Amino acid sequence: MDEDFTTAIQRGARELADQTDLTPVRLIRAQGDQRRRRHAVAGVGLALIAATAIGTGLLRFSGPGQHSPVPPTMTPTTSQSASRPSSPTSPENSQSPDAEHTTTTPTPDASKPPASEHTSATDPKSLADCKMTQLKITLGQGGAGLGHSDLPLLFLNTGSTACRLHGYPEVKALDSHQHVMAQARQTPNGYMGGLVANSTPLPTVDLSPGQSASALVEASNFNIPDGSACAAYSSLQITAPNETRSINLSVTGGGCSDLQVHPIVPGNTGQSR
Amino acid sequence: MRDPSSFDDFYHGCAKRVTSHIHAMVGSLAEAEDIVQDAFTKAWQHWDKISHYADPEAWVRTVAFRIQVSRWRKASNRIRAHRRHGLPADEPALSPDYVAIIAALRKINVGQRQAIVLHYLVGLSIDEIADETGVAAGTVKARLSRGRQALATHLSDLAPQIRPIATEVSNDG
Repeated sequence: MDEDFTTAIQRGARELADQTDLTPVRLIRAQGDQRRRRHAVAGVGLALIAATAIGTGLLRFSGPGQHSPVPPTMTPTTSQSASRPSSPTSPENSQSPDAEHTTTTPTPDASKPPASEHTSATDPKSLADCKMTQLKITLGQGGAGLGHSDLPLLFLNTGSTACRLHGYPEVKALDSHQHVMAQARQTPNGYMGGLVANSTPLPTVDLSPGQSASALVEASNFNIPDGSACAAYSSLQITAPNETRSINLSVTGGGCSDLQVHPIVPGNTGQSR
Repeated sequence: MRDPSSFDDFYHGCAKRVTSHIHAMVGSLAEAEDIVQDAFTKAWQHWDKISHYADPEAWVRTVAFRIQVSRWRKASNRIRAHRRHGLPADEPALSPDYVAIIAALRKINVGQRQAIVLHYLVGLSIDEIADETGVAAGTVKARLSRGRQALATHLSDLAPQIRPIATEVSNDG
């Protein structure tokens, strides 16, 4: 019987609500409109080490003790994207010198419509699947829910021709010795997002050079279903759809159980609209 | 597509309530207001979709919890020198019982705290909490039970005057 507790907490919360000064709703809407224009990723950054390997299928692992300088993912995205509103790129913080590759990332054309708004198929029938040689895969801006971590995988077309992505990437979680801890279940959506509904058809995303698509990865921060603690994943091994070569990206954060990946969708958030 | 008037009604109808729920999680009104503002901003960003949800308030609450955890993670990684809020002077006048409950909630595990807040304050059933937080109902039950026990300990430490509550809570767990 905890009626007293319920009464006390509910009464206290009501008193507090009465003393709350609400931000005027027009300011809330103005801020939301601004973010919409910027295509900002939802959420405040989860600490992620965005070790990037450039589309060579190169396995590059950032081992224990190697920490990047505070990555841009530590700052709210709204400031990050302010100067390049339609930039489909991820932060250039590749940290392993030998992971650098001669491929140069195309500078995004600011006049180009952002990838999240459309899929720019030039010839819908004949587009080839994106190959690892023309894809740069990076980690986007993550978030966290209670007991959950999520982060979008970003697939940037660094090639000179358009290509197509459809379906699910293959994602495995590795420990610090690069042993496979888990293989992600491919699910339309989960706790943190993904497709709006299970019945939504998987999007086909056609990427012009310089455009990117994304897929959301999420995991629980404790063992499902017993709630006990588990050892966090150290890196993710990612393979694009219809590809065999993979890359490894280091992650930090609490994800350690119930790994899932959602389908590739347009834009940078891994969320479909 | 995004109807401002329906959003405004939604905001005015539940923003204070959601703020009080987040306050129970974070223990600072200023911080709760920031988080809730951020969550409603996201709701307006995606209002074309969220306005059709059966329970948009639950969406905002879930997002606000998510923001809050992100902030904790960030805060733990840096010195909180720049922190603007959270000083006692910012806090409203509240009953001693409630202040003691909030203080005790701050001392228990986050998952347990969320379960306690959703169950006793928001008024959700165990199944509803399981849906909203994405964990099994059994996990929710375990968190509620352990959370009550942990809370009882801290409540009796903090606030002898409401030990009866703590005792009842304890017995229930």
